[in-house]
Amino acid sequence: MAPPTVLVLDYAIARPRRLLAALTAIGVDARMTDTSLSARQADILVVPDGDDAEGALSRGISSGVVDAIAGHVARERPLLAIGLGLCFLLTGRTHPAMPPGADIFRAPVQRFDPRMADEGERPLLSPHVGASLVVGLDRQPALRALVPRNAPGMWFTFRHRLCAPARIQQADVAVAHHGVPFAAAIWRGSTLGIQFLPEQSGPAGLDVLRAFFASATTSSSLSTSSLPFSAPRSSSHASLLSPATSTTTTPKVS
Amino acid sequence: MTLARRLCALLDVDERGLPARHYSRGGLDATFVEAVAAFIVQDGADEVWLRAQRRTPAPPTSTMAAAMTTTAPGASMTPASADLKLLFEPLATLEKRVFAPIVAWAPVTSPADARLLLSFGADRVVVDVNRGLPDPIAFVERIVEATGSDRVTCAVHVRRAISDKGVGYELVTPAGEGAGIAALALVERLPDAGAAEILLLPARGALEQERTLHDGELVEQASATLSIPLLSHAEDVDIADLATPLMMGADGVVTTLFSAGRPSLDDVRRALRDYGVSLRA
Repeated sequence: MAPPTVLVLDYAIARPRRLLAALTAIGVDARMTDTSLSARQADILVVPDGDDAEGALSRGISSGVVDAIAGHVARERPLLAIGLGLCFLLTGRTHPAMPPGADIFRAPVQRFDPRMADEGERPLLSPHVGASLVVGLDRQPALRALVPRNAPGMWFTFRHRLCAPARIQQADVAVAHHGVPFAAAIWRGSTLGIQFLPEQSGPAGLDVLRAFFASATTSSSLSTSSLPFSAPRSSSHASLLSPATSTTTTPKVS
Repeated sequence: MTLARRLCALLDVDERGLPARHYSRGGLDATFVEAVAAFIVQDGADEVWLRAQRRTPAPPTSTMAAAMTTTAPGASMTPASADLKLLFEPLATLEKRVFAPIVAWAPVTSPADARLLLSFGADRVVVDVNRGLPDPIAFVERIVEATGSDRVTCAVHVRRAISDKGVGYELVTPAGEGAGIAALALVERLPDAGAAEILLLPARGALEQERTLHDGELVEQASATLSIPLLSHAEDVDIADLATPLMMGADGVVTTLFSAGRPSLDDVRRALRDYGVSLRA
């Protein structure tokens, strides 16, 4: 059986480079696409993070991007939306210059309010940048095995100004907190939106990508044979010395 | 508190494009930047920073002669563009193998320099704002315009200065002299100029002081009003060195402490948690 066609949806303000490198690292053969027509060929569609600053959003993107997302979800094929990509799944616009969201999840796009203060009485950092604890991923079918037993949650790297609310009708949500609680992940059926950046979250982030693609491949009845991303993760230091890397290290001589 | 303080591992890259310090961990030696970075991220570093840190001066060329020079403590005076190039190959490799934010710290003297570092794979670039004197704000604005948002970390070299108003903080020039610009006022203006975050670099104090130290008071004052992350860097030799800025309000520290394999990230996290610092698990 042919391997699934994985397409990464490009849009004017997308930042897909690191994501593509991460997908390559876990053995996913992904290609970029920037048209809604070619996106129809995707078995699995990935919407990458993008620049959510005012200046970038004011340039706008093609409405075809949102159409491609909506069409893919309507065909009930697996979709992973990351960072700003998650906001395209919501209701309403991220900016007046942007097209309306795909309305897949009935929730408005929210923005962190810099007039708020954090726990230390400092102005709330905006954008929210850094590692935050995500609680509730143990309820996500594809990701639950990643959450360590008895751990309150998992830490992932974020960088965003926009977010989805922590409560969304007819969808499951994992929550993080930055001044206010917000949705770190939203899912329903084979659609998963994550606000954090797996490509910048170290081994835990790569595990999320592996788990999503393993699950997506299974759920869409695609071939799982010889799919590297379904392989068990490795975490030992020795595993870091992959064939490519091992040429750059030398055994210790004591 | 669910936003963790950041531990940013700073790796100095020498003129061969190799780590300036020998890294050994768990019976394995890593001799290339990507291997060291992979170990460090696996151990739980939040970010990897690469800094061009030549050990011997680069031969000047006619085009390089006019370029500005490195300012890192103890560094030789070398052409800036030559130091920039030291990071190209390591960045290109790290982009494909290290899945944590990668920050490039080389002498950025123009928007083109910053764009080059980003194009080689950096997620952010460090801009030493004193390279933009006499108008560091305009300098940062020009670079941010070229790089886009969230891409520029502004490094502010600071020293204590005594004036008729009392003890204050002053921006330091690349030559190590006072620039006559109030550092805290500058820091307050940098977010509007497009800085994604600010890195404070206290200058060496008294002549007998052997290394730079974090300035807790400076961190406290600077962080009180900032709505972007504030980081601190000094010449750390001990875990306790990191506690001061983190306890005084810094959102993270940038340190070479992890670049030799000891202490480990686990050791540091355990010790810092004992100080009450919130770090990711």
